[in-house]
Amino acid sequence: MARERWGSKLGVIMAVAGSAIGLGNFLRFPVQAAQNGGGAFLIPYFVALLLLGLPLMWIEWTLGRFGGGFGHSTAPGMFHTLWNKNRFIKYFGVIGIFGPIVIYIYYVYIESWLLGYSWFALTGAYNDCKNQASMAAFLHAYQGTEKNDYFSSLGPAYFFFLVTFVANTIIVYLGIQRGIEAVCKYGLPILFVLGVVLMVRVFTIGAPDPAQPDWNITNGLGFLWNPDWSALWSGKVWLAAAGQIFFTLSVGIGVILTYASYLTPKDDVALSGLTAAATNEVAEVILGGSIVIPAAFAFFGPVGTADIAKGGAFNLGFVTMPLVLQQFPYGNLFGFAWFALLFIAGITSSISLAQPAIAFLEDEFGLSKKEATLVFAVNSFVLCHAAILFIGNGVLDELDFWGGTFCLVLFATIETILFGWVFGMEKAWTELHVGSDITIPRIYRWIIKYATPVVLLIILGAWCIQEGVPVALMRNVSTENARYVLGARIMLLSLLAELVLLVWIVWRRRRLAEAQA
Amino acid sequence: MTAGGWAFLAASWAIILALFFYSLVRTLRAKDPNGDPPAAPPGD
Repeated sequence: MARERWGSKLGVIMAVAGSAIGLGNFLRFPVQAAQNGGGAFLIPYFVALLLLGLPLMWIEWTLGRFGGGFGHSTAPGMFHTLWNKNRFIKYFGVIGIFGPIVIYIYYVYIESWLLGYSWFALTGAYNDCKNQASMAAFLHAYQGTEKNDYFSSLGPAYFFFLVTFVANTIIVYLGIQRGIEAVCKYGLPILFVLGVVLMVRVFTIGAPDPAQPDWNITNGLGFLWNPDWSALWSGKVWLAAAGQIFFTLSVGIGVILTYASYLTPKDDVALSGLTAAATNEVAEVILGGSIVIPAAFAFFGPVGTADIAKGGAFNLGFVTMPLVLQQFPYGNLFGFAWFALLFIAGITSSISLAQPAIAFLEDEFGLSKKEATLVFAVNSFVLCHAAILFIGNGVLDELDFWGGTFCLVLFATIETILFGWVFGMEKAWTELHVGSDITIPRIYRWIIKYATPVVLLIILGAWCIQEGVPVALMRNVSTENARYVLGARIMLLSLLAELVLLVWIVWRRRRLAEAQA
Repeated sequence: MTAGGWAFLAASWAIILALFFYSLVRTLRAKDPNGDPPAAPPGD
């Protein structure tokens, strides 16, 4: 069976950018910047982009294309190809399939809220919610964590979840060109148009409350951008910036490896990686930094906005923004634009999370696209219910920590060491420049070999101490939630064990076939 | 917004937009290197 390929260079760049541009660009970045030094946050942010983000982009694009040349679309096969003398390295590659599945389990559900809220915005379902408390009650009832006049069951949320899940399944079933590439080629331009429309609308708010002339957009931008120089002396701020670069670029997950594996051996990876990263930065810093925080400031002032930011990204996206957008003429249409933008950002990311597992089943087990998609859909559908039914019991946080935080850093550290030290910097540099449309500055040979692994090991160590130990010991879990969190942990360990077993079966089969031949 | 705030906003936007347009223009100008069909995977 012929290997799938991307239809165009721009197509793969848009697919990788689409994978990177997610909810975090519009909700997480502005909160992180506002809480970690404002404009000064951008200094560690750009340093992290140069030392961590771009090197990891290039490493993953190069490893992906290299592995694809050997018929592997996922990390176990790629790692084994790089270091075939090591019997165990392929099992570390399992993280590159496990992580995306774990994130997919809860991400698709959150993405379905955006579809639901797009509908609610158009139909005016939340128009009666006039303050933060009532809008929060609307969200909690929708999530099924409380019953009130807005929703009395999980039915509507489950309906939108089913629609979103089926849409994701159909797109990945249609394949690389007809599914993923087509969706990203249309979705990304629409996302940028919606983002610019919302940004222009926010910039023209002025000072909506005549009694509070200081609550205006200029000061709203100041809330986000005014530099607090003292923040630069805080290690926490540098870690937050490095973390944000990780989350925003979708590096360390395994999805870029899989996407790049569908390139041909002569396709450029250096410029394509740079373009995808730059596209993501436009969405994050320019659009993401210009919508939610300035808008919230104009309507709720400095104290209100600080409280909202402390409430987290969901609060900002699902509670504050609908309230703010309702104040505009044609508020429902702007509300729809906001949630449609986030839904597009979500679906272009979730389809990338589904692809590694499907590609693994196709490449290593020889399943057809239909069979692989069906196996993935059935399994992930069952697993998604952990996030849907137990969202109020700490399960979502647990999945997010292991899949969306710990695995990312661990996987990135492993692949960086493999690339710079096992594959060898000489070969790695040559491979990176095969078919390249740009020449990467030679300083990156040093950065990739020494600086990136050191920074990653520091982040891994700091996170293990700061978050890993308390999470592993369930110190922040209440007694009533402990059994649910433990259940989620058992589910994750079972999934990991299953994937390790599958890799063992594949390579055992191969060894037996070689012995017979 | 303070002068420092404006400076950070302007510098960040300028860096990102310059990087974006540079990489996009170079991408659009680049030729497709795949004149011939992809080679068969060698297997391992």
